[in-house]
Amino acid sequence: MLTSRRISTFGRLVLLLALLVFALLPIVWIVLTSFKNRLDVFAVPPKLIFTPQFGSYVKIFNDPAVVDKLVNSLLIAGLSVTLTLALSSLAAYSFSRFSFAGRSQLLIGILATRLMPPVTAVIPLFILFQGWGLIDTHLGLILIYSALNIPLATWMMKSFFDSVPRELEESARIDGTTWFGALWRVTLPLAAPGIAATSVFIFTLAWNEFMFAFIFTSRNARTLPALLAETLGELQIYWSDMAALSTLIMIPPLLFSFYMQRRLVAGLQTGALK
Amino acid sequence: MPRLTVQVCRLLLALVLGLILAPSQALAQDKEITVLMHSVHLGALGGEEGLIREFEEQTGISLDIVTGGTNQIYEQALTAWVGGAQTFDAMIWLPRWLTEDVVDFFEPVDPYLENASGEYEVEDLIPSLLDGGRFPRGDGTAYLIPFRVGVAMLYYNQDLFAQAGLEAPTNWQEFREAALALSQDTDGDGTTDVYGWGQRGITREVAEDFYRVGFGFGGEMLSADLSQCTMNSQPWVDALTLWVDMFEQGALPPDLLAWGRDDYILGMQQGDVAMSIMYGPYWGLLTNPEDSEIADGVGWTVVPSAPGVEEGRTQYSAWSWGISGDSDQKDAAWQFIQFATNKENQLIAALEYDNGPTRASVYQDQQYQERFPVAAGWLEALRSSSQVVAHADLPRMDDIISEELHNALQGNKSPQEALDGACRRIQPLL
Amino acid sequence: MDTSVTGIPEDVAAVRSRLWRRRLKLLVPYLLILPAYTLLAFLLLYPMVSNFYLSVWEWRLTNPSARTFAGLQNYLDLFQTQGFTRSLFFTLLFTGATVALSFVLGFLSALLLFSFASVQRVVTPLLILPYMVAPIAVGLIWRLMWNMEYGPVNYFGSLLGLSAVNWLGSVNTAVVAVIVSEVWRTTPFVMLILLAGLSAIPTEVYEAAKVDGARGLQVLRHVTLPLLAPSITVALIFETIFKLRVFDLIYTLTGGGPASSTTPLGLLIYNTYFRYLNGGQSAALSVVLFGLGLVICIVYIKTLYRTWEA
Repeated sequence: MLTSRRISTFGRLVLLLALLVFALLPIVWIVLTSFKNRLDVFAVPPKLIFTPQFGSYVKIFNDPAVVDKLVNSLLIAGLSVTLTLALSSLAAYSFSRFSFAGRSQLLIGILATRLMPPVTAVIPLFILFQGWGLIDTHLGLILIYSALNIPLATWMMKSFFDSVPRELEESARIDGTTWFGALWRVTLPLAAPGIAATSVFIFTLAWNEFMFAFIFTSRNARTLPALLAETLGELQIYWSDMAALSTLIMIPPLLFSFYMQRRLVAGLQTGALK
Repeated sequence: MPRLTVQVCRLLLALVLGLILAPSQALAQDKEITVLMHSVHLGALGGEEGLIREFEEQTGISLDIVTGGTNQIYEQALTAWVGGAQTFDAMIWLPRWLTEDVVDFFEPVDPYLENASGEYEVEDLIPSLLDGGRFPRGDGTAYLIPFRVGVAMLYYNQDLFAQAGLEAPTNWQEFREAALALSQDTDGDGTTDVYGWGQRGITREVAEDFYRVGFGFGGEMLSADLSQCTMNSQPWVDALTLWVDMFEQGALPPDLLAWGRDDYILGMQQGDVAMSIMYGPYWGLLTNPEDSEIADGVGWTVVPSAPGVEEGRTQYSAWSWGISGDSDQKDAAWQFIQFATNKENQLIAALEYDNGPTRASVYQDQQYQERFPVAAGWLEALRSSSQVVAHADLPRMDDIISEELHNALQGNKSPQEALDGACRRIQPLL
Repeated sequence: MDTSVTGIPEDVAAVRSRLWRRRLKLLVPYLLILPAYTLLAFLLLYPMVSNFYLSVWEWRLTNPSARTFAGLQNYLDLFQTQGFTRSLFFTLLFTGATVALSFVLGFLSALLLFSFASVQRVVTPLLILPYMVAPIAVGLIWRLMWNMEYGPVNYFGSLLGLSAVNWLGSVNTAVVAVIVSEVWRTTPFVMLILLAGLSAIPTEVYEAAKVDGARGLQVLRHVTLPLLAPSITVALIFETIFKLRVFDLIYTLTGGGPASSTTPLGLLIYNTYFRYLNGGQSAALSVVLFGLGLVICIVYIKTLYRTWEA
């Protein structure tokens, strides 16, 4: 019994390790590439040990455009996560807790809006935004990203709200809390891991989106992915510069996911009624 | 937790209000124009600190520069025009994009050219390049002013040629022999590691490279009145046969179909490829000692030609400036275009920032000739070369051609079959 | 009868206000959805409806106002263009393969992480990393990875004694390469949703199952899977939607080649829209993609969602 459990633990560890290698190998490659000089990038066989160069990072940190765009990206992604979570949690709560006419149609309708490929929305949206004066503004991108994220966020949060037992909420309401109080104090904390996961996706999409970030901005609201596209240049790809910028762009969502996990999982543990 | 939430909300509210109420930056300067260009063109003007700064100081017009890659320039300009945004006053453009679909978005530059001062010397701009910016091409209204020329050249690795005792090829037979002779297995492991020939084979880019070779065989893409597809004529079949033969015999790399721009530049820079038919301005990349191992040993010659075809005939195109028709600062936009293409600055851009000049006077400049002997080749090639057809459905033709080229290179179709197939699909577009 | 100042009998007023409150209560669920739907109406619904409308007209992208009515011609033309059926087939293959593979790997990762609670906090962010890389960089990175000569994939293959594979330069291997690259990128998506779903299952449920004598796979099948159904549905639906319209990864990785063998509908739509400037055709293609997505989603909902709501 014991040995078989040990074997299965060992097997599972090996499996986890294999998955980690698969996930991390390309990432390691990006990071290594960002420290390589041009010769080492294309060495045959590939070099795992080499003299690192920091030129690409120095270049990035000396470029005033990077800070500008970093601020834009943080503002846009941060605010759009807030807006999406606010709107979607209300909608998801409604879908999860109330039964009303047209409920499933409306739920599928939210999904359906996301079925169109965004490319063909570019010009209609542009014309709309032009009329509202939202071209090349932070607000414009915040609204777009929120809209793009609401379907996923609503569906995800609905599934997490569904898994919170209704009884807990009902007992809170018997104690005299309003439904909003029940949502805020009971359901939200219990759905915390789900909200953390949702916000990671929302943040990442808003952080990395490129097409709207490029076409709908020119100067004021350009974000980091648009800068990355510009850096790729047309003559030649400077691989280590590209890798360095990609590495840096990866860090904020990573920090965000760490933060969300700790913050919300901690909230779950203190707020839980168990 | 609630207190934290309140704080976060307050902070966010402040941020949103700040963003909405932030004063518009446009008020800062009296005159400001927005110019859309490729990052390469910003480089060719010496960056924000070079000629751009000088223009701003000279004229008092401040330049708002938006950069992007080739496709992004096109997409962004189109969207801004169709959306009625009046975002850009001037933009860089390619003659191949000057079709009936977009021509109305541009302001004709003929009146500006007529009124230009004698100092500007319009006739010094290479006429064929200026004609590329007319609609209809050649003798129509002028919309674009050429800024940066790119004509295909044959660049080669001098050391490898010397080792093999070869001279630069002047016709396709010599080219074929050289490509085979130069392919070798230097470390003796049984696989080729130096390829006689390197080219771009990835979807779309392959079509562009194929046009460059096909023009050298004397091919024309369409009949003169643009009503017939002529891509299945003998010159094109010969060109494709050369590609297929070289690929099958290992003179082109085995993963050719995945090779893009970066791969063939790199192949040359690292000495893995002996010769390549390249966009002229890549000269700067091949001879830059920081990136290239063959910086001192790059040879050049015009693209080989078939018997009866004018020497050096291939494909060229010139990035050119246009004024946006919806701009309310057209004069300022013209001032910028004039500044970027005048004699003095074309020379500075060519000498200091590796630009491919569009003025005959630059090619005659002593200093320029000494610094860039290759430019003599560019000028020679320009005289005999053509541009890709100006047709609104060219992007679709590119995609059809590249698909059929891949079919032939993979051995699924003979060159003739592949090109017949291409013409069958192109004909309905005409 | 007693009448008040307003002239309305008091008990009627009370009934009316109670009625109002009840009506208002009925409105609550709609009011909660309203803000989200308002934003969607302008930013997603409006372009979608205009897209449906524009798909029956013939128009150039550069001049949407000069259009001529085309009826179903744009749709009929699709079947005549050679690329369409091939692209449709590839899209289905690609979606099927990536969704299946990333689902299996993502589920496996989630279960493993859940079973090693001690390392979960450290390992989870590492496993999510692929999802964080900017999509335009992903294609480039994988182009480096798959490179025949200096790419690490072939290098590690050679250590195992395999000969160099021409991954991106030949048809079948390019399809494999594109699928593996995308699976790499989106496995974390499935994993994270399922992990959150797993964490939400109350531990009492497992204890109860243990008391009932359920073991290992039995617990998985009879306890975990049913309770995880909501998360599984969401993961599958959105994974499918995102894969169906894949574009940026393939655009930088293969450009759709060799010989259009890796051209998904998303790339075809982009080409038709921005490069061929054929507005009507691209709108029709988008509608086809929309229909495809809707059918698949409805199948998921009919099969999985039902068990979830039940």
